[in-house]
Amino acid sequence: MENQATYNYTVVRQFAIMTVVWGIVGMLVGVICAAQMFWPELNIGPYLHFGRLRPLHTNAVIFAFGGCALFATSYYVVQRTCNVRLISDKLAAFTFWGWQLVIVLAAITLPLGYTSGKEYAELEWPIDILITVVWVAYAIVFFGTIAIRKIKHIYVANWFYGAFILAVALLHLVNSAAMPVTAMKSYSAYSGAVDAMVQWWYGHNAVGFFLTAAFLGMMYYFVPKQAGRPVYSYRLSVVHFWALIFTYMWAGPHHLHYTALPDWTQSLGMVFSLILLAPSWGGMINGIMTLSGAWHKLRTDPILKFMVTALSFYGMSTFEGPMMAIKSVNALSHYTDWTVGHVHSGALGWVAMISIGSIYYLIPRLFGREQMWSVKLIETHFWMATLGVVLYIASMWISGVTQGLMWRAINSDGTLTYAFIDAVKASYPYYFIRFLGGLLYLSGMILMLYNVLRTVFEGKAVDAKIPAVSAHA
Amino acid sequence: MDLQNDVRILVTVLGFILFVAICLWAYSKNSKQHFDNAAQQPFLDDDLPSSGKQSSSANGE
Repeated sequence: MENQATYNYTVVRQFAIMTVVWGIVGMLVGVICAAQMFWPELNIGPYLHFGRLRPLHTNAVIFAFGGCALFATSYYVVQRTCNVRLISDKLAAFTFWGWQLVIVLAAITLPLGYTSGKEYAELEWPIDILITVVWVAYAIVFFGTIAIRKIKHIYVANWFYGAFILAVALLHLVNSAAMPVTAMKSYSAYSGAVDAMVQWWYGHNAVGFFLTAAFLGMMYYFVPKQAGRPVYSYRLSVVHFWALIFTYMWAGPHHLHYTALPDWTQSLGMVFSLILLAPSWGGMINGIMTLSGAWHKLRTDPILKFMVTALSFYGMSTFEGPMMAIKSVNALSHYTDWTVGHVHSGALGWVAMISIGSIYYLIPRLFGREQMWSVKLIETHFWMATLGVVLYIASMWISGVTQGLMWRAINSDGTLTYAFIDAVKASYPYYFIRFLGGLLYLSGMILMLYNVLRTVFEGKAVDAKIPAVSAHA
Repeated sequence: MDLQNDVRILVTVLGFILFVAICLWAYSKNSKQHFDNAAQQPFLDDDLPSSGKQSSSANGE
């Protein structure tokens, strides 16, 4: 009788498709911002100015593209590993439409200039409340499904997704606490250095839990499945999880080195950022070593290429991050393009690539196909994306270090060697290379959309039947 | 303030002990079998469409 029941693939399909759509929108805005840096004339009118578009870009790629990818994969993974349908179809549908509404509202209000001025939390208070409601519904669907699971053990991927949902709820509530003045204007509940610390406690943990923990959940399910091998060490994954949870919350102050923040807080943030290297690399090694004995698959499987390259970028940026958190290194890197390069090595290299790999895994299964319409096109997409990231981060490294060195250069009489505009001039050519890298990455996403649409139109939206609980320990 | 500091110290030390305990538990001999089985969990579930709909149309290829 249980064979008659099906999984809820509808909501997974909706989020999976929107991942690709919002990915293109968010990255297009990013490419426009990059173009504005090279051709300042492109700053047209008040609404499409860099200052208005930049938060639109970050919100769109993190919360629209990344968020949809996380909703899609978490709903898929929790159902498949718990052997049960989502606890409520209506609530799941509500999270989909609610989240899309949040994204559309962001796309309208940010260019209009409604902002709370908090990085990665710019949306004004009415939208914040909507986010809270949607997030509570998400938590009910996710944890409710785990509560009615048919398999006793909760697979490690679900632990990461669960931590992400809880931590993001906490971060959002604390950082968005504000006093509304009018319908679209509010003031933060905090002020001065406390406000800065709360903001970067939020900001860094948004990186830690939204952009890391949750995508590690993706990694722990989709990498083993695509490689056809169990995770390298399940025990390591348990230690990895708790180490990451215990450490991440403390690293935020490294965003505020040499500011009004107390010195001891800065040092604490630096030390915990350095400790963070251990769990990060533990997880990265666990993911990459999952392929041991299956390395040959990398030659023919572009989806696996996406995933392994994502892990490589994860390893690179989680080495770079702690290094940049060291105060003396930070004195050189902070406020330069190096930071921008670092963020994109994590965002384009790790977050986007692991999402793209997972979506390529999901789409055929959600539409009753054996594989994507064109595997060759995935391969092309892979090389465009990789080349795009490399161009992007290499140009930003060079530009950033140049800026840092020029800003601090001092003549023997103590005056500054360079005017600010000299550093701008030195960075200028690299802004074109960055634009090219971004454009290449965006073009890869458009290929992906084409490939996905062909697969969708060839296939049929079917909800997979829930198999009878197989023999498990 | 003193009590507040004591609580902070206590929570930090307890957190650290808890983490060490988790490590020991994860790598103890007793839990090896359990975790090895858990790692196999996604593979007991075949999610390819062709095998997912055995009942309706058996495309046994």
